[in-house]
Amino acid sequence: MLPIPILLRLARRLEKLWEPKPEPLTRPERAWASLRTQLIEAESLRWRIEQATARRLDCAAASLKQELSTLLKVMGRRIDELRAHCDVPPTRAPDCCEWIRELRHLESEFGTVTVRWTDTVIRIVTEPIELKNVPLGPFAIEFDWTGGPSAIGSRAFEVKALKPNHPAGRSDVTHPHVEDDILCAGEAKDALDQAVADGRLVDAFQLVQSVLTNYNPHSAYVSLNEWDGSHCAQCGRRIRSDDASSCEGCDCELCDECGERCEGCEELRCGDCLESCDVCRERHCRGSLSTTGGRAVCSDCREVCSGCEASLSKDELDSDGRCPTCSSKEETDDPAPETDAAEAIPL
Amino acid sequence: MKLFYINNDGAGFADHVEVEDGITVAAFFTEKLAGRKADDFLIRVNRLPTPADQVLQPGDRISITPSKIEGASA
Repeated sequence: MLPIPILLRLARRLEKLWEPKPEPLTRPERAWASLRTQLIEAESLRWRIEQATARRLDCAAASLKQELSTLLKVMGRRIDELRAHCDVPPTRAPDCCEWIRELRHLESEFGTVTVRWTDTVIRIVTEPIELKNVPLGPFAIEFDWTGGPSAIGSRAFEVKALKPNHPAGRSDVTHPHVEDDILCAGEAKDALDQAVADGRLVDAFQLVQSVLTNYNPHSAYVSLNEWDGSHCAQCGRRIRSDDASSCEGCDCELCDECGERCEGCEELRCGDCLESCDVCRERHCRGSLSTTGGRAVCSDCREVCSGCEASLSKDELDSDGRCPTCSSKEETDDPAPETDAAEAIPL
Repeated sequence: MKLFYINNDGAGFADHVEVEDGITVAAFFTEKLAGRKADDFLIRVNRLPTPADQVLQPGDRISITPSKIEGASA
C-alpha cells in the first residue's frame, strides 16, 4: 500500500495536472467574432435595401433582399452552434480527495502500485497472462502522467513484458497486441482516451488489462498460431513451424518458396549453399561440384580424357574426347599438314 | 433517484443518470446494456465489487468496464 505522504504527493501532482486550463481561442470565440461581423454586414444590407426601395430600384432591392436572406440563414446556424456550446456542462476535474480514492482503488484492484517520480510513471503488474495456451508471462502496465488529461490514453501507457515470450524473429513483440511496449487498444481506444481525460485511472488500467487478457486473431502483430514459428532465412517471411523446411547444408529455416533442390543430389538447400556449375550454370550444392582447373564443375559436366584419363570439364575436351595436352601431343606425333592432304585429294 | 454511471464500453462516458428507486445492479445492467452478458464486464459500485442483487442507492457510483475487449495491431 502506498504510504500516506507519497499518496498525498501523487494526488496533489495529478490534481494540478488535471485541473481545467483556461479555454484557448477555439471555435466558440471564432464563432462570436464571425457573428459580430455578419451582424454589421446585415445592418448594412438592411440600410441599402431601404435606400433601394425609397428610390424604387426594385431589381436592386430584390437582389439585396436575397443576399440578406442568405446571410441571416448563416447567422442562424452560427447562433445554433453557440447555443449548443453553452448547453455543454463544464467539465469538473477530480480534486485531491478523488485522486486519493482513485489511487487507493487502483491498489485494491491490482495490488502493489509503484510510483516512479523521475519517470512520472504509475506502474502495476498483472498476473501471468496465457492466451490460447501460449504463456506470455506477467506484464507491467505503466502510466505516464506527464500528458495529463489531454494525453491520448493509449499512448500514455506502456506495457512491458516481465518474462517476455517473444514470437520467433520478433523481439519487438511481446503480446499479439503489443509492439515496442505500446499497446494497440483496438476496441478499447475511445473508452481509454475518455477515462484518461476524466482522470479515471482505475478504469484506464482495467481497460488495458482487458485488452491484454483477450486475443483478436483478426488484428494481431503476430498471430498466436505462428507464435512458435520462425522466419525464412532467405526472404525473411514468417513461416509456421508446420510449413517450415530446412536447408540440408546449413540447417537454416526456409519457406516453401525459397528452398531449392541441388541439380546433382536433389537435396533441399538455401541459396547460400548452392553454387552454379561453371560449365552448365545449373545450381548445385558444394558436394556435387568438384574443382577442375580452378573451376567448379558438376559431375554431368566432367569427363575423362580418352588419352590420359584425366578428369576434366567437358568443354575442355576436343571432339575426340581428348584433353588439350593429349590433343597437342597427337598433333606433334603426326606432322603431316592438313593443307597438303587437302591439296592431294582433288588431283 | 440519481446515480453516477461510468460506462467504459464503446466510446466511454461518465454521467449522472436517473433511474427508478430500488433498482438492483442486475436490473440496471440489463437496462443499460441490453443483450450483453454481465460476466463479460467488471461491475463496481462505489469502487467495490458487488453482487447482482444489490439494490442501488441514490448517489451511488456504478462503473461498468468490459473485460472481454479486443485489441488490434497498429
